Amino acid sequence: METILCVVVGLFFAASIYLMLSPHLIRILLGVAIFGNAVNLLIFTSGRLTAAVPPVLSDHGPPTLQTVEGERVIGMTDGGPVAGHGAPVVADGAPGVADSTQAAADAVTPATQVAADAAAHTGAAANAAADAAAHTANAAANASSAALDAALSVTANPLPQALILTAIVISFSIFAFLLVLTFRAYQSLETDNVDDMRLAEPSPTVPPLGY
Amino acid sequence: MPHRLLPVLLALFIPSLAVAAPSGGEVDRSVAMFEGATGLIPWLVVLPILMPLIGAGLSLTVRSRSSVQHRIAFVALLFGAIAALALFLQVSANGPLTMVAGNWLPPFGIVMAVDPFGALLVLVTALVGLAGLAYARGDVDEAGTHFGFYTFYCLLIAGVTGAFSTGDIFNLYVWFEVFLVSSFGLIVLGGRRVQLDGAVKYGVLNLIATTIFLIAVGVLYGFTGTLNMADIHLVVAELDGAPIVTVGAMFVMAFAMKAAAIPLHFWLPASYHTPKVIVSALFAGLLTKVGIYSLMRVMIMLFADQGSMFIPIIGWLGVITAIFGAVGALAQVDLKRMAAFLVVSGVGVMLIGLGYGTEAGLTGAIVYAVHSILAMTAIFLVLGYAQRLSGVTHLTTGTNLYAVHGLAATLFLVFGFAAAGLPPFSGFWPKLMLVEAGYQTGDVFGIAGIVGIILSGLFTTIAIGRAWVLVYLRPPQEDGVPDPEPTLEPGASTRPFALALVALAALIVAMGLFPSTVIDAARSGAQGLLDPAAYLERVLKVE
Repeated sequence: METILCVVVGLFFAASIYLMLSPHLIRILLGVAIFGNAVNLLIFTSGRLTAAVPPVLSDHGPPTLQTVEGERVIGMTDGGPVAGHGAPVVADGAPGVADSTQAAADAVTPATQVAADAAAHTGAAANAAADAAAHTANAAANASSAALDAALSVTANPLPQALILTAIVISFSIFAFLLVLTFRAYQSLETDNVDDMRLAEPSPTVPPLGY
Repeated sequence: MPHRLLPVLLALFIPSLAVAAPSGGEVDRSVAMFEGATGLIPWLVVLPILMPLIGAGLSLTVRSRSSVQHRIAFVALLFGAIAALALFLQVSANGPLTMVAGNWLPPFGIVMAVDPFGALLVLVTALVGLAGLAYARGDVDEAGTHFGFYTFYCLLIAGVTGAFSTGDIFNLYVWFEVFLVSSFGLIVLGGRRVQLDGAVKYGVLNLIATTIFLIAVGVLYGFTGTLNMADIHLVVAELDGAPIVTVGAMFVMAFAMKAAAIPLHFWLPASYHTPKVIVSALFAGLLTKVGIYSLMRVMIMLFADQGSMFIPIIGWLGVITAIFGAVGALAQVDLKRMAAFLVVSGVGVMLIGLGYGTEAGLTGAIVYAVHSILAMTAIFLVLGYAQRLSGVTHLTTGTNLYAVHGLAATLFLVFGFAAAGLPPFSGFWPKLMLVEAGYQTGDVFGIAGIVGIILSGLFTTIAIGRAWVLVYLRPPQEDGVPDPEPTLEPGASTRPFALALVALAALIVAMGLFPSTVIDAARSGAQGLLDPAAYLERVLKVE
């Protein structure tokens, strides 16, 4: 998947650079738009691409994608499916259940805590929390540390996606501004060819050579 | 409506309280977050950014009343400058100061971190912002105010200050965009045809530069897995060379484009002379220096030894830029285009200092950056003032302005000689330090750097002297490029212009006569870049 996207990103860059080399403003702008998308895809790819495995951890390691009775569900590495129907419930999960999971994850890194938070919101919470409560803080730390390493190999990194979100907002608004600017420039300068836009850069005159 | 604003302002000022408040369960957050509220001193880090941001927001709410807007912007920037001064004193005395967003422990949260280098530039930015605001009172008309001049102005100051204060590389990109967007607003304000022409070139090329910067940040994150500058410094030291070649090349390309190093400078002389003079002055003073700052921060501090392959490249770029920037200034007829090429030439001098890569070279470059912020702003302002008084825009028109308005003519010579590096003005010391640093390196590039600095100074002196003689001493000429009419209405006060110019001249002369404060601050800034131990300790500390 990464390889395919790398090729796509390369094609995007090639197309955008080709378009930006044109003297016509509208082509330059199209090039700029594709350029921005190429960058976003690039950053997206750098955060690993995995299908449908959320960054959720328990003491038993990262979740895996399993097929149970013809239906894709998220299961834990120790076997049995614990969370049916994938999608985590996005709501504040019952805090009492969540606490022990969090306490276990807290001992390691904030990154795992984020994961544990998410875990607490799924149906996995009940199982995971009960398990976690049985462990001492130390054991939990070791398990979670190993779990973190394992998790890094199968889950996607959410941070690049947050970066892209910022970059998309910025590049889109600037693109909108440039579009309007170009249109105004086309209206008042009566050309969209940058070679003919010489108002700010008139052909050189020789400065006075004497007093 | 103060009673409605109060909760908003409170929330703005005390987000740490909101975080520290109990949020339901008995969760132990100490492994991931700072406990409790942030102390008062760290607030100094963000106050110079917050104040202009608040000023921008408030002036937007009263956009139809121009005098109120000016006052709001003035108060905001004044408080920002006071905070910047306090920050500078604090950092000079106690070393780098940090504040983390959302109380996340580093390296996970976005951290604002100011070291002596950043603090010095934050202070100069705030001072120039205030001086420019005084000039703006005379320069910006009712329509300009109505379309948000003061909002964009405050946002620009906030963006530049933010870029100087952040300790997170993606956050640096965001601040780049903040001042880029506000500079778009400023450059088209007025909407004359020549402005649209300049703005198109400025907009497209700068957008491409920041996008290349974004690519570099994305790829760097892919290799290091962190965005925190202190953390990047540690992780990059462990990497083997190959990834850094790619990432470093993109950083050099992006920042050299933002700094307008030849041959990536074309957008600058194509656009800087088109907008209102106060806007040109602010751009000339501040924006290219952000490129220089970022180049130093990334190449010297973040990449350290890994970036050493790029240092000579940057240095040679600097030699070319310093010489040909000044040659470009000699070739211009339009006065403001001449000043734009002087900006480019100054960028070259700073890049030479960066190219030496030694403590002496970096110190000289930082002092030159401070000088250049002051002198370039001042040159554009004094040219704008002369244009208001006499309509002069070109070398071919004599005005005999010295006889009519001695202050404007004299100050042009002061600022010009400062830019050329003649004593007793601010440009002399950094150039002397850079020549000394080049002499100490003792290799071919050291000599080339010295030649570049001296030639750029010589050509700048010729360009300034010629402009002085042709424009300010010569009586009006029959032939030559016709100038527009003077735009200063008869009877209008010249006080705002004079105030700003005299303030800048005082700073420039003070820096020329008593340079030790700036040099000391710059030296500890350079030491901090070369050996960021104190910075790392402050940023990555776990309480």
